[in-house]
Amino acid sequence: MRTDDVFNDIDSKTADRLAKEYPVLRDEQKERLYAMSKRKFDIKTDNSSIDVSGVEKYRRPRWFKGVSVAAAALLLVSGIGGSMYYISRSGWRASVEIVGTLAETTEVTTEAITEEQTEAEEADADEIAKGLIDDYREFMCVLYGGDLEVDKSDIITRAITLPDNDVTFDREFYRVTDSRFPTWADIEKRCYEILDTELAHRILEISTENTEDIMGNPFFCVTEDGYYVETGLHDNGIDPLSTSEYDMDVHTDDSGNIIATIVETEFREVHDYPIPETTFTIVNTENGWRISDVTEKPLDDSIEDSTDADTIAKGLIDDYKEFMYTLHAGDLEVDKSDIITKTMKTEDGQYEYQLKFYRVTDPRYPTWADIEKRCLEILDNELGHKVLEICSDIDEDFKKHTFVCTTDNGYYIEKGLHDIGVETLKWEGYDLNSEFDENGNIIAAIRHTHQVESQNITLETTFTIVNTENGWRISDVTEKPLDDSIEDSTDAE
Amino acid sequence: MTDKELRRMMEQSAEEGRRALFDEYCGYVYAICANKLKGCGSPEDTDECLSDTFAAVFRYLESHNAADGDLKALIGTIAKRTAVSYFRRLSAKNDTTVSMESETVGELSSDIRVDESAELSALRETVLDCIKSLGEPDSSIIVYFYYYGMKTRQIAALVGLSDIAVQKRLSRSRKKLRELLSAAGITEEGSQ
Repeated sequence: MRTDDVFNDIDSKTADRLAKEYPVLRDEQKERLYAMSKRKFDIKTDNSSIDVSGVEKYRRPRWFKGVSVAAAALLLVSGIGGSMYYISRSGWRASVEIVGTLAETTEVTTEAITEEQTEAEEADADEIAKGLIDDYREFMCVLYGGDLEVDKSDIITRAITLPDNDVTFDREFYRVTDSRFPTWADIEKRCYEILDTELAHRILEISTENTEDIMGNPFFCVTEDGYYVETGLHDNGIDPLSTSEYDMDVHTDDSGNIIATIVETEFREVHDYPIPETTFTIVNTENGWRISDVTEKPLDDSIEDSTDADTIAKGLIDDYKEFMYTLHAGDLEVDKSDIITKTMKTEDGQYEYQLKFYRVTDPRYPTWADIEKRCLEILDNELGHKVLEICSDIDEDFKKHTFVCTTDNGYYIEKGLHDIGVETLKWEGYDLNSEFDENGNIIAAIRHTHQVESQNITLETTFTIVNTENGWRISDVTEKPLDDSIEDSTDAE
Repeated sequence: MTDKELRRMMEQSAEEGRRALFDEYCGYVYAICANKLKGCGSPEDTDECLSDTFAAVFRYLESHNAADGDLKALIGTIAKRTAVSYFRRLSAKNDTTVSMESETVGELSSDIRVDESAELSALRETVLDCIKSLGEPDSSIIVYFYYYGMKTRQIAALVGLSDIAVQKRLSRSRKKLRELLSAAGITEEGSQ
């Protein structure tokens, strides 16, 4: 054993100790993560409620809803809400046991499909894609949409125990009596007729017993007596499934695979569920054309992005404006009767001069740490630290010019800065223009006008906003006069 | 807050109960997720993993409200399973090997081996004790780096030092930790 093991795959006790002794999540981060968790939880909850009352509420059959069954199945089994829009062979590694079990089925399918394969090869891409996509959607409704015929009086119960602890719960399963698929082998066979071996393995594995996955919840239970479907899955289905009409765009990639993208034509009213664009990769396997990959993404990606860019930019710019106004434009509440004086040196160290500082009594920022915290909520680490460094406390050795002076008694702000302030930080209203760049950062430009010495000067301030581990933050601020003849360009930091 | 109190709170108000549960265990889940995904995932992946974990926990508790048992064990298991799923997906996607082989961990530990039969749990405790004895901010730097897999720049922001200062401290602490581990019987030959 290597000591690597000590740092990797930590046990509960270590995790607990790390959490208590070395916490890393700050309040704002916790808020964001809780909101994410809640959103993911709410999506599932909303859909569950649609399942129950779907027909009356939406006047359509339950299966008349969208989004990938396979992805949703994965969501339910593994609990990975974030992967809802992603199902791909690249992310999957089938276990040896499952591959072995299913190998026989593959062989049977191979023989049965050979003739069909020849025909399919001759057909055009549109026809192949449409046939497979329709089969896929219909089959997914059978598998996950409660479309299987069952005998509700014949129920078996299975105790599911989560590995590594004593949490046990019961799951009930209805006996499947569907004449289309009398045995589980028929389900497997159909699956292999539509999907390629790897994707079929994946779908089948998450459907049956799989202790590897979170919750250990199989959807189906196969016994010598027949096979059973989990009652919750049958009664509620996985949302949203769909067999509605769609528009399809088909092309062939460099490898000769068919890439078919479909968009449903019927507007969907399901709660907050994005209308997906589903892309199928269809490959020519030894068994004929099969779907090897299904990827979904919200259709209105670009529209959402653009709205988000403006919202994110506006929020941060407003915060920035307010914070900078507070810090550098005299907006901090101070006690002008409580003044301290500090001796400074010019940069070349030759001359000394004195600066006066007011004591800050602002209830919004009682301590300098509150200023630092707020600064790093708006700016990224690098810019935030630069801004703070400029304001930083007096260096006793160099006595460099500074804006802030901290003592045991509180912190003080330089008198001149407070009384006069940086004029160009005092602006009211602005025009905003923001967009995403190729790196996914937001570039937001604003224009604001100031009256300086009886002249109106319009400045354009450009913010680069990046998505950091702590959320969106401003990483760069550049300000320049709109009139190009004035060459002065100032870094706002 | 005890499990009993959390369950009672959830019975009274599911929303408030979920929030309290999150506050109680978010650090714990973060530690599990970040540790598993270090070397293969980004901070955003860790965030996704954590939020998926809690969404799954909330769903589980909603549908099994009568179940009792150790909440921490349940949450820990769900967190580990979720993190393993993410790890597999991210490793396959990035075509990376397991983080055990990553450079960051190798720097400290590749030359130290412990006996196969050593009690891993006790060993973990000892290592954490040694790390703690480094004192702050060095112990935090080591933990953030080796357990949470953070970059020195991220650590710098957390401990309020510059990136360079963190790198220097990391280097010094690593040497010191090696000595402490050796003194605690964790040597190249094995734990004694």
